[in-house]
Amino acid sequence: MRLRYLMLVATVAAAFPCSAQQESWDYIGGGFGASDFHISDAHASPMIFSAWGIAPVLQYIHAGERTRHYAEASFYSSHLFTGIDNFMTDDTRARGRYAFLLSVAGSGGQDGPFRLFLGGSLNSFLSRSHYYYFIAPLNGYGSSIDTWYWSHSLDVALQCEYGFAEREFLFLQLYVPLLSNVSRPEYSPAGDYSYTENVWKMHLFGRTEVFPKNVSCDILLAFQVPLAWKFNIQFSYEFYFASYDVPRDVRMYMNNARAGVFFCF
Amino acid sequence: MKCSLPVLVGSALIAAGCEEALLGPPPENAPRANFDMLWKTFDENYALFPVKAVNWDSLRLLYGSMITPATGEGDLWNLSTGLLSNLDDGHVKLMNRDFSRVYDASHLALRKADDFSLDLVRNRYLASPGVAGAGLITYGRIRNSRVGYIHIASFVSTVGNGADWAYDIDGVLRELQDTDWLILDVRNNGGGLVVTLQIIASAFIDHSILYFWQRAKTGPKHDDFGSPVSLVVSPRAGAPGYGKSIALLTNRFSASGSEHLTGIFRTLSTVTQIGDTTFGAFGDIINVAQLPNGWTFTYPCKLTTTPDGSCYEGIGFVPDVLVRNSASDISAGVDRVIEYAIAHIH
Repeated sequence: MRLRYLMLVATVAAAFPCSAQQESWDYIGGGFGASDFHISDAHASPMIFSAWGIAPVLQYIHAGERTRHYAEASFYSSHLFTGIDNFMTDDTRARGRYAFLLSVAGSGGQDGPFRLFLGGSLNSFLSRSHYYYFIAPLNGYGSSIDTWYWSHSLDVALQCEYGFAEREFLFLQLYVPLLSNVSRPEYSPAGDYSYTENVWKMHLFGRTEVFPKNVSCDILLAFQVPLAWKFNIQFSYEFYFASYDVPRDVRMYMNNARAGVFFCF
Repeated sequence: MKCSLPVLVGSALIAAGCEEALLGPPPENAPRANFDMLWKTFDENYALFPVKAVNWDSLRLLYGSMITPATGEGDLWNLSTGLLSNLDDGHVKLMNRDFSRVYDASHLALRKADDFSLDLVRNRYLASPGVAGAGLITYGRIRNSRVGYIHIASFVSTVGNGADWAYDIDGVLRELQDTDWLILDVRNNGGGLVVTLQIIASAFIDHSILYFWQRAKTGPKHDDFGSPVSLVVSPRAGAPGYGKSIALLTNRFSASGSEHLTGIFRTLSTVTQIGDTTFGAFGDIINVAQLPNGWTFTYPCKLTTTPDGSCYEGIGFVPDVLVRNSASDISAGVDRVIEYAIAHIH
């Protein structure tokens, strides 16, 4: 059994020959961490809800000579509280993103350790919240309302990167949407309600907006360093903020801290 | 460029700790602030202002002027319920933080529902009564007759109580197919979910019925409404149907969902509505909203009218035959409504 395992490892290693001066690298991996989420959605409640929750993520990075491709699928789940202990909210968030960035400047030319990349990204971010309240005499909960903020956007993306060594780098990404399509509930809480299913039906698409109507900002700071063989470890911190005023003001932000392992090839 | 990275990181970290800077200040939990939020939520969302003869701005001045920073929770409760009482709406409710106080803004709610007793019907008028729908459906045959009887106590959700409404009502109707005619009783039925009552109605009918129009708010003004949407109920495949005469019994506590059912059955030539006028609670999709002091309140989000454009909110459906029980009738073991139906419908 051990021999089979060693042969498998050797085969995989042979399939991805390691070069000391490899011109491009691909990183694929996943991370897990915590998300500190805060939301104020006037459509559902005047209160601000917040809590820590989980934040798993899958990521792919292609680091070419002058380009960067970045893809991400992330998920977040939080059980939110407010200052009033009988009001609660379950919030589920998800994001899919693809970004393409091109090197535009660097210290000591394009091959220096510090480089600046500029590009764009396609981004889809969903936050769905179920508001409910505690009914003391029943020792149970009653449903209040479901709301959501679902933004599909074309973002401008900026990346600052510092390479310490091969497969060891620090990067900071900034995303700001230029053109977005935002799905939100209708003005009336009854507007999206389905009689037959007794649920609020979420719409995939909504209003198309141009910056700065749908304001959001996503900043990701990540550091990768070789862990062992072809594996890197990544530590990241992310700050995300979004604000939109249809049908009423919704504002949210989250701080995400994660650690993850990447396979490099 | 080298300094941009620490500046951006620092900015992000500082922003991360500033909930108030990013989301705005938390709502003020003061007596006047809570009252104003209650008033404003209704002002911008309540769908029934067009059929309620109230001056909402004046009411804010009237009740709000009595609130000071020293106003206690009891006084705020009295002023808030005083404000809401002007709406006289069975779907408007206010609950305090621990639900030890629940206020119903309908004047009818102050009346005692003492003109109907299901126990009386079961014990005196029914032969071998049965139950279905997790106990919410009582049915059987009127003693010494070929008259069927069904009482539905509520149209609550199928989720949670284990009931399958379609299975239960179809089974009951099949058992009563050999009766000459039927009494369908929704007295003291305070309503429930539209989907539930539509399932029940679909067991009886043989053609689609457009019974109501509804409009939802699209903006904060009292007359900001979207296009009307029809409510239609259609025959359900596999349902037994019932093409014979039906006496639909209603009283002042046949509310909301019961009035939807009444609205459907009123269109059928085989149905006679007997009893008292229904409650008059036609608002729909009841939203539960929150206040910073922990209170919750409900309000209807849709304005409902009949196909001819009439709104019976606060009025109710007047029966074809008005027959009322008094509390003493019930105490004496007499249900005049059911007896009238037995004597006259056949």
